[in-house]
Amino acid sequence: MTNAGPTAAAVPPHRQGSDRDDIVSNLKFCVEVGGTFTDWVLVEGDRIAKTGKVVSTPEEPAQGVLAAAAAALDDLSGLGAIMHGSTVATNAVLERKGAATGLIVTEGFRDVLDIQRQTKTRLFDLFYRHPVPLVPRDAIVEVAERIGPDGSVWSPLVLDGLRERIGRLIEERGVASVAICLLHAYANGEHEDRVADALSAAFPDLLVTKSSEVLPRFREYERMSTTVISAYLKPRVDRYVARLEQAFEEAGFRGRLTIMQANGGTVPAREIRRHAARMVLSGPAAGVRGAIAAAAAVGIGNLLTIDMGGTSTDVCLVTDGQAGMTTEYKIGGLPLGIPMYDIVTVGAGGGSIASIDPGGALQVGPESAGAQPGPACYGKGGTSFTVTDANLLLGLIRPETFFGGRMPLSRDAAASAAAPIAAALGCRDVDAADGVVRVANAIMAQAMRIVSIERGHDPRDYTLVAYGGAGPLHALALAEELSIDRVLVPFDPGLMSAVGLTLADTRQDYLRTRILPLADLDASLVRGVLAELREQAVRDFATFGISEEDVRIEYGLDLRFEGQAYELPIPVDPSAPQGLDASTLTNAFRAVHLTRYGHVPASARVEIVNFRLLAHHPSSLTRLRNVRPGGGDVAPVRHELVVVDRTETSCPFHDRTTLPVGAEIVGPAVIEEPTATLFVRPGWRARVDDNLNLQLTRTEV
Amino acid sequence: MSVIGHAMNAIAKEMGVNLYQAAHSTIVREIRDIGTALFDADGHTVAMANWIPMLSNALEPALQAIKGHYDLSDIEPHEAFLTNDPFDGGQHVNDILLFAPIHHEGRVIGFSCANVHHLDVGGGAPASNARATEVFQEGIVFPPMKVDFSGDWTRSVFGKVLSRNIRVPQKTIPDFDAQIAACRTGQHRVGTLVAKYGIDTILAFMREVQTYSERITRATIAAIPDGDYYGESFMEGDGTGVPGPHTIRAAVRVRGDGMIIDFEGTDAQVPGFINVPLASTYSTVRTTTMSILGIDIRFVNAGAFRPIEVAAPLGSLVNPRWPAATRARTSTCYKIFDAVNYALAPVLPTKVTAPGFDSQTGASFAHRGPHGMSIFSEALGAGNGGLHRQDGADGMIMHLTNAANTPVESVEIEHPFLEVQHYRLVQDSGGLGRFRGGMGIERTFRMRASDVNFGLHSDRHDHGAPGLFGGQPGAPGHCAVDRGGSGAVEVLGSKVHVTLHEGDILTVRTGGGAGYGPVAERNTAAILKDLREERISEHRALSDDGYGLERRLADDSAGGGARQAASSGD
Repeated sequence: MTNAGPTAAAVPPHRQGSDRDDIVSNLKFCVEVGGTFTDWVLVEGDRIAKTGKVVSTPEEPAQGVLAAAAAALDDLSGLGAIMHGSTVATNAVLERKGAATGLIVTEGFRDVLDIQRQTKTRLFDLFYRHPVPLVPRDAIVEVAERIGPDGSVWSPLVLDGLRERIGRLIEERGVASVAICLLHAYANGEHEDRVADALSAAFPDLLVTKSSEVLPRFREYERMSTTVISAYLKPRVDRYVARLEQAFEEAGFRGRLTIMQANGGTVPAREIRRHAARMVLSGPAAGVRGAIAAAAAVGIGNLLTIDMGGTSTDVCLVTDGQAGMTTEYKIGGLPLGIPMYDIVTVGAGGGSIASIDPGGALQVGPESAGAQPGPACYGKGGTSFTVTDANLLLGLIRPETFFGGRMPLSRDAAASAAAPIAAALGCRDVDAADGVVRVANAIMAQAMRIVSIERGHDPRDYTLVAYGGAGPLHALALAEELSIDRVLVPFDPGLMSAVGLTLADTRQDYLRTRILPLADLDASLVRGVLAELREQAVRDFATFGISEEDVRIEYGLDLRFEGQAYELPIPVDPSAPQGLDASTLTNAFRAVHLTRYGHVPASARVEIVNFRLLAHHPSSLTRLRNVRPGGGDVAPVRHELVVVDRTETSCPFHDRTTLPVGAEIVGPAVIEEPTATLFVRPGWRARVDDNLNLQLTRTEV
Repeated sequence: MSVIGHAMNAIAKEMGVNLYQAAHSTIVREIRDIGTALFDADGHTVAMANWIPMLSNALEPALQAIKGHYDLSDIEPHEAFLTNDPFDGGQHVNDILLFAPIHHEGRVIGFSCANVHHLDVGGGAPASNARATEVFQEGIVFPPMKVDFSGDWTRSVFGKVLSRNIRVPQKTIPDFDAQIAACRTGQHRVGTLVAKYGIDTILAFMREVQTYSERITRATIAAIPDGDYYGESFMEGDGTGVPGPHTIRAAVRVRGDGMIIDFEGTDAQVPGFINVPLASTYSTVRTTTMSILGIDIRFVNAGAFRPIEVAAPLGSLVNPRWPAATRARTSTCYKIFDAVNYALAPVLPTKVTAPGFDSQTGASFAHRGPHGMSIFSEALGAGNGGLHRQDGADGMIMHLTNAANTPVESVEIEHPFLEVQHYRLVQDSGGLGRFRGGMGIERTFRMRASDVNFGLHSDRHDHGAPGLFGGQPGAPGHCAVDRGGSGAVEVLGSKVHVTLHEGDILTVRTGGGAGYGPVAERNTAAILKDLREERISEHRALSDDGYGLERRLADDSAGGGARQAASSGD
């Protein structure tokens, strides 16, 4: 678009237009950069050819990616596509490593970013402070102008002096990127366009981000915050992506590079450089995308995903193959309002630390031992008792097989860490361990309730899909907590995010605020706005090399009762005869409101707030065929004592990598593989399905 | 216990989320002026959510008052108790508190409760009446009563009386719907917990979690040396012209692991609307002690407050006799906070705060347009006080309430008679000190229509928040109108009601927080950062009326003028 800046020119010309026809190879390389490990998957056709993990290089993330590529292939020239997800954007915000950024606002509103919504998140803490804005007050510039809520111009834009002030910020503060957020710009972006044009003309190297483009939606603080995050990330993401493109090209790659977004879809690398904020949280989104595909391949469309890692756990609800979406996400306390997968994160993971609070109650997290020093049993100097230590004491993870036996664990260290907790509770070490696991499960279950019950969905209608290193270990206890009877542990659960990349659609979400009462609805007006969004989507996809007939479009409206502040999304079909009739929309909205809130006002009027459009081009690959060489054996590898519900029990241990299709295992049992351990609780039966997932069902309640 | 405790907290929170998301008035949906909590069968809190601390903490005194009229076990599942009576467990009349019973096998095992600040409950002026001298002028009063909510509640006696005595039923009725639904959610969810864990476990949890919290509070109080500590603070006026100051006096008597907050000596109640109903005094003391003592409890409930007793003389500002006016009680509640804070300052110097602006600043604009009455009402953030080791927060809500602001775009979309001209922090409003006070906020509105009824209740418009340990006072608040935008400004005072017309420009400003510790001890880099960010003026930074940076830098170094150092940043 207008503000891609000079760096856009660095994109090799042959990659700017449509080059889809050039792709002859069916070889895809998918690489996901996480905090600790960079995971990769090489896909040939519909089959995973090779997988691996290398250590991430947070200081220079591109290095880890290139190392992964080198491990996968000698020569990149045969690759058709590279699909990439990365924590680089997430970490840049959390660690405040983005660019020096400026902000232009309407005169009189310089402090919106500082005041935020004026509230506290820790009510009884006198020392509470707001999260520090990404743009300091002295890098915020006011311009005289004013637009009203209907988009009419109340006062004209005055650009005098703007150039000088921005010039000073560039010179004195090293500002490389500027966000523009003017009041009511969602209703009329003309003033933002003119400010942007003036800046681009004066400072060709400056990256400019407009709120009317990033999030054309009312509520100035949330829109401003989102625009600022996007601007703050743009130079870094731009550099990062450019470096990858260049390095891949030097390695002979001639295919297409696509980047994962928080909405679960991918876009061409060039596009993410325009909308950097969409890369935030792309890793967890890729994991959910992988889980959706793994479940879909065996006919499951309703799933509750749980990705338990070292410091936190991500949970997401997927209904009929569609993940729930949110525009209320916050990163490091700062609102990020772009449409993204509705993933709820809680601070309980394998490394979460157990403690006894002053009232004598056992607590877990949010403090985490992280990867360094890690749980006490890692023997790297950690002395705190963590969830992983608890699982070790319970016998569910074993030093010999943890991480494929490549990571020795010290049971003694775990026991010493448990001792003070056990002493405070007046119980045995293993009982303390059991308590720690239960409390951690309670915290995770809370997140699962938020995405399901609180949103009006009954978790019993869903299959729990557990992945990530620690997810499968806790999955069945969590399922029991929410009365869920079916659990799926996908093939290679430690690589879910990388797998998700292979299957992700090309996807863009479009949203525009326009408040219209439904009572005197002019369907042609609604159709007109949706058509405009459609045109924009078609234009964007054309630049990705995807033609109109290959783009699938889904329309939606966000509705609310007049006077409400929170909208509910309703899918609409403008082509249906009565699809946009006020009565059709009202009835659909009232039904959703009843499900979500449990009541519907008798006679309130309904209004449209946002128009939405989702454009996607389905991935050519819809399912992966998991294959494993050799036969298999259903017999346990050995028996060990484990503690189940405070009682020691002899339990068979199986090696997942040798279990054949159709194998059935009745709990209690432990099923181990190099990157994860599954505990089949008593009352559950596991079966290896046709695609080598483990499907678990409850045999007794 | 942690397992059920997390689940109970989640329920209380979910009740509130459902409430504000489905609500229709800005005061509920944007500002979130609500409280949600779960109770045991005796009417003691077992879990509460983090919305407005004052409102959540006020639920228990109300249910205890209801207990004086009703047998709490004698209520059907489709019924609920409610009250908004300031003289019988309630807060000000706008807060209607609703208590729905939770039954198990025909027996009441607890209550699911929601408190909502309703936009308008009638009375002498929309939203708030600064001229009120009796509760009758503030709105309709519902003493503790049991109401049947089966079927269409708006056709019940309560529903009919409510609907015909309020100005904006199109907002208030749906807000009340959401309030009822929130209580239903709590009833339902606790029922699910009982089904899962068994009734005995849940009842045991309700008991144990209170003992647990009590232990934490007792351990915290035990660390404070025994003794009697005194503090006071005052309101400048009551809005009716009775000369102030109206003083709150608090004696904090620490005895072992318990304490008594005694308001003996507090001034008598006043005719104006700043009197604090007893339940609000309780609620304030709870919120204040938790905040200052730094009691860190994941499960907040009645037990946490058992070790803290309150003595409030009848007929005083903190326990007025019927029928006193109480609508603007929150400003006075902040003075209770200040008095207790001062009392504890000598023994807990690292935990107390220098006073913030600590005056609830509620502004409301009402206009009758073609579609009926439209009311915009909001509470503004202000400067918070400086603290041990950090500056006070700029333009943030203060410690008793947690009301969000209303987005400028929402104000203008929904109330076309208003234009917000600016919304900003006020330079130089933070009190100077080793750690400075936070900055106040200024919001200016231009009227786009005539006959707009404006009301304000605030305080500290004459004297700013006083400094602590040698810090300087914050700037006072301010309210003025520029009639027709002529440039001639009329100062309105802190408690007013005026009619505004098209083109009038109205400014509301909240004051700054006070400084903590001597000005001379402020770090130079912090002064320069404030200067660079224009939070303080050059005059304040450089001159001897301010931080005296010019002289300081001259003393410090032989080379380089102060001005040069200042303008180069750091």
